[in-house]
Amino acid sequence: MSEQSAREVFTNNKEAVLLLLPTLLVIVVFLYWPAIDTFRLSFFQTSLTSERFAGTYNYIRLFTSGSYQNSLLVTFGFGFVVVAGSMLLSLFISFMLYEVDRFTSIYLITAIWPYALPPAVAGLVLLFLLQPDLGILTYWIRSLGAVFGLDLGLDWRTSGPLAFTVVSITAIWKQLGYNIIFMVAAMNNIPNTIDEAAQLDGISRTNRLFKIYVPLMSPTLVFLVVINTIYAFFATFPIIDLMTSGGPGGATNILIYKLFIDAFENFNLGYAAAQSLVLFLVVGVLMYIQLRVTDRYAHYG
Amino acid sequence: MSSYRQTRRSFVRRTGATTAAIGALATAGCLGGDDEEGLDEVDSVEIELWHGLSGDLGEEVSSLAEDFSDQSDTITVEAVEQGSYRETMNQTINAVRSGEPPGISQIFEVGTKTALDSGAFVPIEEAIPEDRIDWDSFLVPVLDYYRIDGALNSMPFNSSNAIMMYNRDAFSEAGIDPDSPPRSFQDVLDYSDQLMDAGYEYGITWPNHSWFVEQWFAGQDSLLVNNDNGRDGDPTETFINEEAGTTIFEFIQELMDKDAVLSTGIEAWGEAQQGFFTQEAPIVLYSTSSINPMLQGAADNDFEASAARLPVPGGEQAGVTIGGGSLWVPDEQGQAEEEAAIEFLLWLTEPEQQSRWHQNTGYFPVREESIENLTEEGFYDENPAFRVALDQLEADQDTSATRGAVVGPFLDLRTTVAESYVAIADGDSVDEVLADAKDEIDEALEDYNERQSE
Repeated sequence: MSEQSAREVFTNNKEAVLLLLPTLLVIVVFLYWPAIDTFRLSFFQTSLTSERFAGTYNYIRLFTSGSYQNSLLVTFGFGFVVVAGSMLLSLFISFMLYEVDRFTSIYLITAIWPYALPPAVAGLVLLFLLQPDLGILTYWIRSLGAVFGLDLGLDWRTSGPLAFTVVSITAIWKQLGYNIIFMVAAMNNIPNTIDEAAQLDGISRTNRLFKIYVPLMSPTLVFLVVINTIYAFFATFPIIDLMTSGGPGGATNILIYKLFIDAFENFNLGYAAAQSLVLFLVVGVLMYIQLRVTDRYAHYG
Repeated sequence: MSSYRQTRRSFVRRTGATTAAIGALATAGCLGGDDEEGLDEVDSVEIELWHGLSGDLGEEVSSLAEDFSDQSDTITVEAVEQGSYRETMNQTINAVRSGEPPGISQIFEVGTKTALDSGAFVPIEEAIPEDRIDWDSFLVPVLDYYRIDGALNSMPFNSSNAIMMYNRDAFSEAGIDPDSPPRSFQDVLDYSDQLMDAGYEYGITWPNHSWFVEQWFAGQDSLLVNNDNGRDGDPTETFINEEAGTTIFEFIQELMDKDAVLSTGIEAWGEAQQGFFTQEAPIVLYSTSSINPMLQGAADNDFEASAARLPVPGGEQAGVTIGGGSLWVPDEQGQAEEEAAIEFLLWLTEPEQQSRWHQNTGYFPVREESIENLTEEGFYDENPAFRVALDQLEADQDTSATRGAVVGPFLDLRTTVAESYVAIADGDSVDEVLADAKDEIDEALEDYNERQSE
């Protein structure tokens, strides 16, 4: 009823176009036009002020460049670790939050807190906590290692694998809150009767989580996988920028960071445009596969 | 470190805003622009000076611009801080591309070649009438850095060198004569041993910045890139992995093996400074532009510091190269604006202003007279550290190596060199690291040349 009346207000096409115009204008000027210009630019060799058509030069250079191949590898590794890590961890935390009877809102707020931080602040906080010489966390990890007779250097500013671990932890931690909000909401939507029946049948908690809750909340999980992938590929930029600058030796040089450096530090716009186009395609294809694959298992009530 | 990073991000936002604003202006139908009226035909003209100096340095630039505007009847110069050097360069590029350049832009030393190759700037030596300037009274090593193919393209402005500062009290404590600072790499290694025996955590520290490696190439009178360090045509190859480079990185490796160096992050000036102030590392390599804050910081932490020449392999220094930035005048602006920019540069490089700039910031003056005047006033007797910096500069042998490399993709090169330091710290072998570095730099050079060729 209310839906119908809402439609009737906009029967006038001209009015609708007029109302949409500001939005469309903004989208065209700030999204489509730059996107088309990026596409064009990717076929040009650019210097400071001039540009020259160069065909596929940028693309050929891209795929023959060792540092780009490394960057691709790092990005996929990072994407996988961050998406899998943040999804799994959030799932466990959400389930615990859902199961607990007392102080639920306090636990919930505590768990969601990291999401309230801007990525740059999250990066800085962990940078200080995990700083190799002065960080409080590294201090305790090192002390713990000493108990077992290990001398942990933990200098992730020089060790690639360690740096990768550190930015992954930060990226996962930052994304937890967002996932938990959605997962807890999804769990709350599941009728209690199912859970009660399962408990009566004596099914273990892990089994209940994976056999009952996960299938029932699958639409939310599909959505979160997509959002987390976009997050891992694009929105982790500030974390990389603040913590490692893509180093050491390119170990954390994800595609989005590399293209920023090539565009705005090396002043190579054409090359960066080609990279951003490839990145766009990679994420687009990934998204398509994820939606197709997960759709088969998702259960939309 | 972090503040610089944050401003870089705010820059991304600002670029968006600027682009939008420029776009709006362009569609609104180009206001003002290409008028051919000269300076004497207009009543007043306003120009902006874009620079990348923050804090006290930025305020000094603003006060210079204000003083100039006050004494000029027609010209107003407004100093606008655009963030870091890199941001200033980016903003300038965007502005030039959109046809709305500032009157003057400060471009850091590594952007020199890129700016020159763009052809978007007026060569300063041609733009200034010969009878209005006496180039012979300029400091030669400073001019030499910015003079490419015999022509001066920009006005040297803030020029600095690398210098060594050391903790005199620590030296005394370790039984080292505080008046004989280390001169060679071997000295640094020996002194570090002694300092660490005396209970100091490390011997030395410096920001992991390619600039110091470049200084050590100059110090050994070795070229960093071919084609006469890029001064005789576009460089196509680096010599980073040849003897001079190996010597430098083996020295770094030896320091690391002894745990004698406090390793800092890439371009982390603050970290090195802290290491010196907290007396963890009694020797620090730094920039002459920070002599005053360094001495002050030492005093605040209850020790006495001195400045000395940058140590080099073998101890005999061929020279140091200039760092800092110079002022460029974009081509695509009104005649009156361009002439106003030149007027400001002429005023700025007068000995009086240069003395003031030198005293207040630690950057070198570009005029010999400034130094002579300050010597007479006894400035250097009171500030011997400034004298050390000048002596080091004036002792320069004039070769292509000490004039410094001219490289298009200089930032690329710098990142690669800084990463090499990191790889050495991670335990990789010097030969391997430098061979990789050479590959990367050569690729960047090839790509740059490819993009420049028309």
